[in-house]
Amino acid sequence: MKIKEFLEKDAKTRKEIVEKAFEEAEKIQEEYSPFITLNKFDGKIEEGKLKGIPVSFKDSICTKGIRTTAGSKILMNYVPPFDAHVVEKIKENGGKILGKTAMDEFGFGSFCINTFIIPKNAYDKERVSGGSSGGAATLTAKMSYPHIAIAESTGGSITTPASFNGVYGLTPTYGRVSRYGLIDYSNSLDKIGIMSKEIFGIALGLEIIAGKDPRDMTSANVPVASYSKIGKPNKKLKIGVIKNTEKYTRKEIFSEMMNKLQKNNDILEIHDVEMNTLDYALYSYYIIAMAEASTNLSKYCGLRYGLQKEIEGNYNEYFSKIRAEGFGDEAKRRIIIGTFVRMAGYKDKYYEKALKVRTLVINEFSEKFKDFDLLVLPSTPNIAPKFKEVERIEPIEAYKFDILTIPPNLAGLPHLTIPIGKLENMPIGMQAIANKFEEEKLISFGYIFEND
Amino acid sequence: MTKIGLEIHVALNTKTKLFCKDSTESNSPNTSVCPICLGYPGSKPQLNKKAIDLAIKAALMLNCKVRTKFWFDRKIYFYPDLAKNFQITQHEATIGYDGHFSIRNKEIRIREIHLEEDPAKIVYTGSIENSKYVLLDYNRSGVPLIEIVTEPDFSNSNEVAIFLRKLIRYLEYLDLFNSSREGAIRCDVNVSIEGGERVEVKNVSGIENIKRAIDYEILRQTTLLNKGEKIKRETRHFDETLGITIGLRSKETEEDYGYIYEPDIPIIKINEEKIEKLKNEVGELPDQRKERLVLQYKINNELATAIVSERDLADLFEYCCKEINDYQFVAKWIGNYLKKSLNWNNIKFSQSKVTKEKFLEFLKDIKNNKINEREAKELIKTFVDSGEIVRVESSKEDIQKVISEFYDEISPSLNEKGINHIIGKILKKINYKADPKELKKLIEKIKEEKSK
Amino acid sequence: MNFDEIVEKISKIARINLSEEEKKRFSKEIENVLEAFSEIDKINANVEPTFHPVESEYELREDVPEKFEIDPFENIIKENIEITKDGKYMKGPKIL
Repeated sequence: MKIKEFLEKDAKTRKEIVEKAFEEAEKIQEEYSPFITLNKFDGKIEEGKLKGIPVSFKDSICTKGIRTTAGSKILMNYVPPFDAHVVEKIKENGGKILGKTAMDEFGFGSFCINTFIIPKNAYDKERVSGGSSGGAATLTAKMSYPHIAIAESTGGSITTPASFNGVYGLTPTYGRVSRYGLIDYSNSLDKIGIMSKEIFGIALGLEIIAGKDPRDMTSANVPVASYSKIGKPNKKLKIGVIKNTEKYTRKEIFSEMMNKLQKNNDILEIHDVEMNTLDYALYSYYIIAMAEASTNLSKYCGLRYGLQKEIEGNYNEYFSKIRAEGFGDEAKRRIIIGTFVRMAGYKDKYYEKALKVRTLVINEFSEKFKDFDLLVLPSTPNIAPKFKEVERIEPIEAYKFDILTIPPNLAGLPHLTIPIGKLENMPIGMQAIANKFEEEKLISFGYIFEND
Repeated sequence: MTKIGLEIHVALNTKTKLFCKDSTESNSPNTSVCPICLGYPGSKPQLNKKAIDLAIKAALMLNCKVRTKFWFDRKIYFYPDLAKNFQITQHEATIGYDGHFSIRNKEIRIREIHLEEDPAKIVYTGSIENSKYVLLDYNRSGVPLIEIVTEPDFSNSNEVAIFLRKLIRYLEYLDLFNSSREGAIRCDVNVSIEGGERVEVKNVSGIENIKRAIDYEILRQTTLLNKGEKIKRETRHFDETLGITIGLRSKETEEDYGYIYEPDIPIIKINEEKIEKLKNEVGELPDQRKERLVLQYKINNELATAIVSERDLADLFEYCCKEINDYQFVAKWIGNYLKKSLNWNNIKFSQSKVTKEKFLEFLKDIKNNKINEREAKELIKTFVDSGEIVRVESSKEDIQKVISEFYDEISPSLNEKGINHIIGKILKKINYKADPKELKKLIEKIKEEKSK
Repeated sequence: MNFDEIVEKISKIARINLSEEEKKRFSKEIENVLEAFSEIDKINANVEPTFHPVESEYELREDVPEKFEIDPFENIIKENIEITKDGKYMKGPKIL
């Protein structure tokens, strides 16, 4: 059922639909495990822009009174005393919390396998859902009743899973949505965004959650447009296809993307462009993300909340024991690398340099947006891999899988992944990048391909 | 040659903490806390504007250059009192730098001044050595501190004490610092003697202890050098009870902190007008003002010192001198009697309920003999406390009663001196709550009657 | 660089106990990762570092106290809470 159709129903009918949606979520959980925690419907239907639409939240988003683990054993029983800004906004608009969706521990992963509840791909249970917002993507693809997923991307955690599961995924401009109540992975990169089966769901969701919030000093003081009222573009869009992404992508995906664009050349003016900083962006991103992450994870030490034991030994012994037990492999790996790249003697070579490379990437994008409305590239290099293919993958190879999603994430630019078809019966996607705060263009662009 | 340098930590006089709205005042442990100062997942810092203003004022007071663009850094180290296991501080671009502050004829160079958050308070359940665990009180977690770093320009503990007393006096005058707050001034002291390495004594509280720690260190290091032993670079702890310093097995060293930029706080920009405005608010400093008061009003140094102990007090003095041209009289009442009453009540003039206008009226009444001085000295005590002159005139009956006690002493031959003597005794008995002129009339009446 | 030593040192700084197997595995993997990361060393980046990808107007908070309704002991196991005559404390590990 389409969201617009739902919104037109009377309250009684909407309540019945929401009840069915909660039941459906339970069934999906049994087969695909997209949830870490499922919520119960309280039977109340409020007004507002959502009028009862079930909304799922990635489990790194704090929900008052509902367990929030960020996919980590170290927060297994943590119940936040407050709602994240986005949760408040959704509640204010009559959205119902459907549950908390599975993710790689603290967002550390591209396949959603670095955690304790591993969701399956909506199209093939032997394949991964994609990381790190894997639960959100699988759920969005499987829900037949209206649903919006609030997810989060640091380096591609919305685009990758959304593309693997054939749904839309919007990562807004850095600062567009308040991070208050988001459990930090990498504060200068984290962006809360939306997944939906419909562009309208993306637009409606953004309209609700975007805007300045004094509780996040980095949130942007830029007016929020009525995104839900936007339609297809009313003038021709100038598109730059990032041509040098072709060599990283499976041939069929790249050519399908070109086909889709060409089919709409009445409204799209298509050019080829090159991104010189593409390769460097990957390393710059991982260095910054791990440096910040390694500091963010310091607070988990067996005091105040999360995994605890009866206090014993000195603080070095106690902290080291709790942290060894609570963190998974990838978290430990990122703490070690992240600590290394900011250590005296190595900081200049890695961390400081990475921040400068970020400037280069941002500068290159700025130059491009002088000439183009949008830049387009494939969402992922390949379709969702099988679990057994990624089980023993070398970390550096896993990191390299993010090569296409990292540039806009590193530059804090808004981007949208759009499902464009199937390859071997698995969904494939393309992503469009807009200049900062130009989410409207992405939404217009998305409508071109809906029902296409 | 002995070189001593200080890192002085001062708690700023703000109502709320540096990054959250919790009050800096609290009664019982762990009551002035929130997710931010407890380091809960998802919380973000909200920088206190007042703390920035006060820190800039302190920088100006210390003749520092003020940066128009500065930021915060994360200093990462694990310790049970640190809620996030990193401290938000300033490492690279501090608020102020390159200043100086003089004591007598010596100028002490100020390397830098920066803003940071205080950790929680550790309460030991026994001695540091024996306790099985410690207790934590997060009320102090997040209180704004300024750290003032001097160059190693001191030669002995006496200079340090003089410097710190002047510093406190200045900070209090500008209302930047509340010395009544627990743990309000703490120092890390660096002591080095020619031929030895620099030794740091961490976290010494209060001027007396700082002096003792320095004297002990000089003695210890000199003794070692005389014995032909080496002084190694190390960090020590001052034991207040024993009065000695003890080597600490150091926790992190400067190299291990792995600083990164604080990604939750944007770069702070301060414009020149703002600095100019704060400069005006700082205005004339206590010693300059004291010198001026001595010259302009011909008052003695001692009273002038008392008057400039607080800016509002000095303002009151100059306000009253506009209307009462007996400056000695005004100085005596403000610098002596009022100051004593304030000290007795342990408050500042700004905290008392007395207004400038009411105090001026009070002085005028004394001057015009509406209130006699002795009564006024009593009245000022309650005046400071309540803000009102509570003048309870004794009833006619009471006065008659007391006078009748002296009936026998009032002989017809009583001279002027004798009358005044009796008036004094009567006044003392009735706590000066009567008009001496009225008493005189009554006594003379009795004298007349007796002589008839 | 000796990666075994680096992993050993960082496990102390970052307060994570690692098993021998973990140390061995991590030092190999991390060597590969850092080698790849060194790529950025080759770039000439004569520019200012970027702390935040998008700079925005920020607001500083006014100095007005507001109480946050929270029970700071809610998420703490009861063994690690101590009630004294002064009030309620969290237990923390000792220093020495």
